[in-house]
Amino acid sequence: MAASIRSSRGPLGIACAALTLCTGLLVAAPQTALAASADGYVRLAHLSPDTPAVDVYLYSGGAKTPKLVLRHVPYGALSPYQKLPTGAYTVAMRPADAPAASKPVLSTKVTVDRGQAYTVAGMGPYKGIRLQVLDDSAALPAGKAALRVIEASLKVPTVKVTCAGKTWPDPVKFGDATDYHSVAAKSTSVKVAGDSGGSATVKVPLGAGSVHTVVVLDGGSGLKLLDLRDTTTGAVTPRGGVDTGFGGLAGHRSGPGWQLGGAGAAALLVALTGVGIARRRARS
Amino acid sequence: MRPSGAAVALGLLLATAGCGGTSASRTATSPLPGWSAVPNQVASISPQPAVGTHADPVRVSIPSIGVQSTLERLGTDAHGQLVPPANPDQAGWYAGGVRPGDPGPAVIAGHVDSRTGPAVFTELGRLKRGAAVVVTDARGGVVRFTVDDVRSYPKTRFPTAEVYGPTPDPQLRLITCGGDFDRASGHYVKNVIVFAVPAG
Repeated sequence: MAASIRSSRGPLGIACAALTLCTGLLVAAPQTALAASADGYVRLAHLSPDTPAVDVYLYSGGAKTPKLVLRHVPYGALSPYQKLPTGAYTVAMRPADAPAASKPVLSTKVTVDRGQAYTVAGMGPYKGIRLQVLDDSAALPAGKAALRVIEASLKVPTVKVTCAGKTWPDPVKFGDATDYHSVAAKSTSVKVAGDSGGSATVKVPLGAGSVHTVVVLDGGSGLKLLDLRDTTTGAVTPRGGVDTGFGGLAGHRSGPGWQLGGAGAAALLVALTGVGIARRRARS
Repeated sequence: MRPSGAAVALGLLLATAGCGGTSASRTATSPLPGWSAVPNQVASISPQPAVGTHADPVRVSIPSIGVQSTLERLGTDAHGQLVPPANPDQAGWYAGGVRPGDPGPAVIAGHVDSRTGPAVFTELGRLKRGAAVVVTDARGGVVRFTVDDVRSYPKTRFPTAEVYGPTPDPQLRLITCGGDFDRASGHYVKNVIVFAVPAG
């Protein structure tokens, strides 16, 4: 059975991580900070098969003017990740070409955390369409890959997923996204099949450290599968920092760290003017 | 505020991708123009960003601090810790991780000093936001990064998730040492980490 990866955060997430790592069944991802900068990532998608094309607006905080507008977004379309400063955003969908000031048919709030990635997608049927915020952050066990499936097909509204020859125990229902499943790292076939016919297969390059989503869509004849690369990390994450210094400049004014501003510089100044330690000369 | 250039480009991309979509049928009962169910739509799949295919990196250059170095390949030791470069004058690429230019966080480490003087990354902590970092791969491919942030952490609180955690786009981290030198252990107590993002 494939292990499931949850991207929970905060103290509860840490507790879950400790528990699940012990049992070895689930791999939680507490504090799954991604990139270092003060930005996060959002991509926007229309995954509702019988909903007409939409204009997607993204507003920062309570701003009236959108930060981003995607026009005529059809079913199946998905933007690349957009880098956004951390903070609160609102995503709204209007019928294509509806005035920007008109009332949106859908809207949702999304909080972008530092380094985190999200997919905000209109999902479900036209009559019950919802904007879902999916967390695309997953911390992987060393050497593994992860796969998630989004079911966005009305033609085949329930599918079973088979990845690398193993069938996931729970079928995926229309309008749902699975958690990330930890899978062996290799390029592999992912098959989705309905109970009463209708199936499709896609080759997914699940390299070590890569996180993918396969979206099940209605095609011209039968299903169409879209393979998305969500995030990637290295195959093996080293523990801790790295000892990149031999001490030849230690204590000298031109030594490492003095150039860092603020508290670091102040602390170093204290260190420099403090106890005199015999030092080797840095530069001849 | 107007949408940014990137936002407009993104919008155009999606608008182009949407040409194949079925247009909405409008009904007299529809309360909103263009807003009614459209049965039997076929998905219009938008093109996804191409995946990087870079060779192993062989050289790093940081013009603003005069760094030009070939790259050693770095691995981890029996404790899982990153092994620093053998030569203080040469930086090293963590070969168990991501190639610079491929999606994910690539890591290059270099010494801040030797036993007797400066080393390849002595000036790393001086880097300013916006500075250029250029990595050349074994096939001659060039990947350009821009410094986004320079931070210093005690090694006891090394930000593993921020340095090595997954990213959607190609990123680069440059690591050296900083802070006080602990003569008992023979190591500096801090790591200085430069976070860089794709240029342009």
